[in-house]
Amino acid sequence: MAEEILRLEKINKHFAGVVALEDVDLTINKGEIVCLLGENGSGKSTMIKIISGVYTFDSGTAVINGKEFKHITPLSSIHEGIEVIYQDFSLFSQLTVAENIAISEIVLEGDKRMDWKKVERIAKEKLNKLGIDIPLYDQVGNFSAADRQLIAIAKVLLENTKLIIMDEPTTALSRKEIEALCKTINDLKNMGISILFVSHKLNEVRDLAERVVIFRNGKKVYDEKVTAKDFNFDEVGFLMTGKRIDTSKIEYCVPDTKATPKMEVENLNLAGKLHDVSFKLYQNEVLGITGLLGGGQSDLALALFGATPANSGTIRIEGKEVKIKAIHQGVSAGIGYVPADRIRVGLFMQHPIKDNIVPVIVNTLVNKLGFLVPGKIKQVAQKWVKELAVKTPNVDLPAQSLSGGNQQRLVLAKWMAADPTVLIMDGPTVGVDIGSKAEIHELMRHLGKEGRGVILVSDDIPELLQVCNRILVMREGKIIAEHQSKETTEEILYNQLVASC
Amino acid sequence: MKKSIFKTYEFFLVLLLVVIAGGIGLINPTFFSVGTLFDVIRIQTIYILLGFGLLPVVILGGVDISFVAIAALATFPVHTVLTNMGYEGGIWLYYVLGIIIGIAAGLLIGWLISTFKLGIFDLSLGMNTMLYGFVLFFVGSVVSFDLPQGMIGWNQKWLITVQSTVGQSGLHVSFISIIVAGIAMHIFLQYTTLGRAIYAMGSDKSVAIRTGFNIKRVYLTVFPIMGAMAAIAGLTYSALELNFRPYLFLGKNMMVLAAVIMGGASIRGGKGSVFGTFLGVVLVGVINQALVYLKIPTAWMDAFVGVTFIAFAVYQTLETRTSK
Amino acid sequence: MEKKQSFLKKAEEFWDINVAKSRTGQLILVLIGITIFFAVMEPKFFKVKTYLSMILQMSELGILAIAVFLCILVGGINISVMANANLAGLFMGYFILSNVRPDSTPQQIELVILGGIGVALLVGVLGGLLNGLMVGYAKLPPLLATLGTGTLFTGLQKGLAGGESVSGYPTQLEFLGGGKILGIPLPFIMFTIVSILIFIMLKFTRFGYKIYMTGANQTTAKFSGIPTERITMYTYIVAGVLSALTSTIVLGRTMSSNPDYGLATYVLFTIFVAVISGSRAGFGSVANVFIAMFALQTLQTGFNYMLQTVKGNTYFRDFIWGLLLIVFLIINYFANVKKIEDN
Repeated sequence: MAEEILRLEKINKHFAGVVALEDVDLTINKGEIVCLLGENGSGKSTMIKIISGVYTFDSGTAVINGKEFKHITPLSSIHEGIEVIYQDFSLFSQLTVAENIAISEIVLEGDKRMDWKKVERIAKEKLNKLGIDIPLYDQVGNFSAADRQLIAIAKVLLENTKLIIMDEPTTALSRKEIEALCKTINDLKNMGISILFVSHKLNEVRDLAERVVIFRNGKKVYDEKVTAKDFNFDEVGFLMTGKRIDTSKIEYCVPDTKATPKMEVENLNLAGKLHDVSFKLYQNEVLGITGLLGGGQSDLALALFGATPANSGTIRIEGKEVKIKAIHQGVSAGIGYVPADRIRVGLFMQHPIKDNIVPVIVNTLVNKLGFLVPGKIKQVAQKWVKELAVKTPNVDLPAQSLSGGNQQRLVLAKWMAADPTVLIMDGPTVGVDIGSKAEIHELMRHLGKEGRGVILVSDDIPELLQVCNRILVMREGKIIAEHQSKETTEEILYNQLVASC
Repeated sequence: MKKSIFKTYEFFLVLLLVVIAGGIGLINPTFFSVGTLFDVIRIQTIYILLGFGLLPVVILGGVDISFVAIAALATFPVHTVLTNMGYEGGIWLYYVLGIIIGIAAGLLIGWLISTFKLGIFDLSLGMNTMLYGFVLFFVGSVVSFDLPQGMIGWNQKWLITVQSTVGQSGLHVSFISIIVAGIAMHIFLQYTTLGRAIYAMGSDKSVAIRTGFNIKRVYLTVFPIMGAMAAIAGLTYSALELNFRPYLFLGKNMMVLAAVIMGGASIRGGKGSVFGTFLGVVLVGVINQALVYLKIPTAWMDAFVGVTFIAFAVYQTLETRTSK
Repeated sequence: MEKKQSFLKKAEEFWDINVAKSRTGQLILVLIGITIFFAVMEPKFFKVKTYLSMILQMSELGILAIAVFLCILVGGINISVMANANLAGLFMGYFILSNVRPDSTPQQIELVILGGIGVALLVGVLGGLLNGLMVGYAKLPPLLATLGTGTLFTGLQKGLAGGESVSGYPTQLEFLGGGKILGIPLPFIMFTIVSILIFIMLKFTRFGYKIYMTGANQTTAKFSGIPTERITMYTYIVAGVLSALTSTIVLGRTMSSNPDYGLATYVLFTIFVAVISGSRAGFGSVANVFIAMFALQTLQTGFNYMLQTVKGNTYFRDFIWGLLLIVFLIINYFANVKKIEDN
């Protein structure tokens, strides 16, 4: 019988009437690599926070290393050898590698004196365990995301570490780096350390996980050992979302390939990010672009918008060549961009909804004397709020008063008001509830059918299949494949995106 | 491999100093001499001490301008009270009382900041005005030239003296306090976990909280240190210049801050060293002396400090941007 | 009976919307409170003469407070405004002195003064441009950038003037500092006009909207097509223009150019005004700044009256101001920060 590190039974957790976890069991054995899969809102983050002691569970039992815990606290969790690596890696960018690796141990041991020999010893020891070679005295801030992740892993390798929880470990990594991470995780396993990593990206976990646990709507719906060979994306996707996608039944846009394309891109180059990217966006089309991180799809979107402009290449909008070297040029060329991070990049959260609708078009809202009429702003805002069904009693309320889905609609409303020729959206439904997600998908299909050019950059394969009639796959800055949605499946697409160990 | 000495910022500063001194030396040969260096250090001693006290605050990522007022608070009232009592003893009592006051002021500041999440700069703005106002109104507004017995003659105690064509220069006994304070500060910042906590907080505050550092203790250590160093600097000034002033160091905060930043402490926090601060203040002093030797009116001093500061700040900002 | 109840209810609503939830309402209340306090303590306070002198004093700092307010609004801060003003005043003074001859007619002198104002504005714009380039384009932290430029401006003035105050200006200049139009001091008219113009700029122009949005979230503004670097730079330039305007008043009132003028106290004052008027990046209104200025000036004048007989009362005033700022910062914590923390 394998040694059990963690055994949770019938865990329940709710927040203000909303059920986050319902009767969930989870066991992790020594040396196991477990992947916790689930969409946003499935409860996987809550589970992690309960294990690490940030949240307390309402009912159920928790046994760690054979001891029962009525409440898990952050300190007790650490003492039992459970470490968490968050997405920001918890590193000090201005301090050296050695210091970063050794610091938590030194703080935990309560040292008053800073013994640099000890720091060097600890850092070297931990890096050796992982078999990685990183200069000890360089500033952490100078390293790549992958290297910083390794440093973060080395940091949590304390004497008694038994379980390392990684929150979305592949988010900041490129394909090659994911493959390197695989090796590291296997090394950890061989040291007898269990790994629990949380993700929502099936293609990236296929080769990593020994056992897959799937949460949906707060319940555990799957808990089995898996092998890469018989990992079925369609099945896993269905378990995660509860829905099957039958592409033959979806009413896709039918692109008009004879008319002038909405956008034509030729030989776009951006040093280190895009290599000779060329494609056409036809009339009446919703084009999807996907890939692993570092594949270049987000960089492509930013280059087309003018945020990080390309070094060379041509862009044509409705047949006319345009120069896009800055955002205002992208906007004048008729390009709109809905960002992935709507809170930080898409909205003015504390400002009224009406102020969020007009920033792109504000220059057109002036009267004959050149003055801005506040009433006009409100009027325009009300119009677009209605058009995009943003649920709010009035447009004077701050943007943060809206739900996630309505916030995303607001961002869309901002761009719709600008009447863009081409609308590029990057991860528009991240963190949006399922109901709003479906509505936004419908809206995107509608925009495409209406004759507006729509490009959807996303890593959500089901989403791409439901919305786009054509999907481009990018890898390392190049377009490597093109699929007609009607003729492809989740399985095919996932296989193209897999990072192998 | 530890970073080579030649790649450090401090080495760059030493080079810069040598180049400037050498450059001026070409025009006026007496400039490039040990005598000049001693002069600069003597003049800048108080600012070096103030800079040492300000350094941890800047590493923390903050700007505090009230340390000058604390220096006044720690010296003038103490002197007034002791003089009224007829004190004729040695200077040690001044140091004890002054340092206590400096620490107390620092504790108050640290407590206010950590309890009420006040901005360091905003609070220092209020503190600066309030403390000077307090001293000038409640204690007195007239400079005092009565020195206690124990202080007289101290300003003539030299460690080393050097003869040159321009006259006599020397390294004053107060240089010892620079060495002692510098070493103590260096040990604190480099060899204690509390010192490292300052760098950690300046680098990434949220991570520092998660790592388990005691944030409150950091605030309650950094500002009392600033206050104590201000007190020491103030007393050193009074003993060297033979007077106690209620408006001590008024308006000098910018110069010290500029010097600390030129010494390598980063605007955004997480970086800085004792030796760098020393060099930064010396640099400002060298610029000042250079103006004298080049026969440029010292009224231009502030302008030079301003330009140099802006140049360093722009350079630091552009450098961090390109390395990202 | 019903009428009484509905009146009470309406009054309650009025209070809730316009005072409890409105910073402007709170400030008006504070102003009224302070006025009543001093009227009671010092009956001599409530005279036309007092108010005339008060609004005169308020005007210099008031225009500077608006300059600082604008920079805070766009997401930064500016502590070089007084130094910029002093430098502008120096050049204006030089211009006037070198162009006024013993035989100049009054009309010629007035023209020269106008020219001098133009020179001041030029210096103000250049100073603002320097700030704007450093903060807007080079992306220096605004506090440090303006700390540096402030030192530079003061340094330039000290160097050029040889550390002495320049004086000997024609008496016509005094009109700028305290002349009256229709019984109201010219500086106050300038302050009011500036306030109204800035108010219009912020509320009724695209530039104003873009300032608010750049301050609210620079990245979002950028990604919505707003040229944030340019907007920031223009804001600092406007602040420079306002600094220059202030210098004309100062020159007219003091009839000399002093490099240290006002430096010790104005930073505290303008930050104080910003804090209690609730101005921060992306949020704030000129009206609040105006009322806050009024309230603080009333406070200051009131204190002056109360402490007239006390020796060294300027120092006591400093003490109180410093203390008050600290108190207000703490109050600000309870009013704003704590609410967010508790959530």
